[in-house]
Amino acid sequence: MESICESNKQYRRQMLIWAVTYCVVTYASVYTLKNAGIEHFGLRTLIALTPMLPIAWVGVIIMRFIRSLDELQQKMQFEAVVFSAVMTGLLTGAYGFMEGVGYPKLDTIWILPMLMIFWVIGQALARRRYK
Amino acid sequence: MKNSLKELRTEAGWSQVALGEKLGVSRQTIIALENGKYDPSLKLAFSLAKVFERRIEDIFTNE
Repeated sequence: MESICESNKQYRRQMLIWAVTYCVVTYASVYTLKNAGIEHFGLRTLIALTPMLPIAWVGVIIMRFIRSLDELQQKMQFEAVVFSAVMTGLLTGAYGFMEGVGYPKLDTIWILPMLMIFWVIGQALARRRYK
Repeated sequence: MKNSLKELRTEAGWSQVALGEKLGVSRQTIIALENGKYDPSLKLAFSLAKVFERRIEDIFTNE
């Protein structure tokens, strides 16, 4: 069985490679859409969606990492994910109603970073609970 | 649930990291177990009993 320490190292390495790949792909996508003069709507859609490939890949990396954790760490991750889902649901739901009374429309692209931020906060709270 | 993990581990002369390695869990989990913040699964409780060569009920008490 792979040790937890080795899994952590491997996870950090994979996340670093992922972050670099995501930045390169996103930059290339935006640059191509702005400068390549592509008019075809279908092709522009495909190019706009290319950053979703590394995003799907990070999902696989995270799932593998969580499977490598021990039972308490998995429980803590579960609590953190639930916290993140609840907080994101509350905030996006509340803002959705506020948009109904005239607040400016916000881009849905902010939902994923919001989930990630609340996930990190949830992890810190879980760590404190089981200390 | 209370347990005597800290006493048993100290008696055996193992660090929290060493016990974690024997059980395949993190030091964080050992700390939570020793502080009574987390009750282990049946599988982990059996592993603890095996490592310390005790019965589960000798390690854990339901108080």
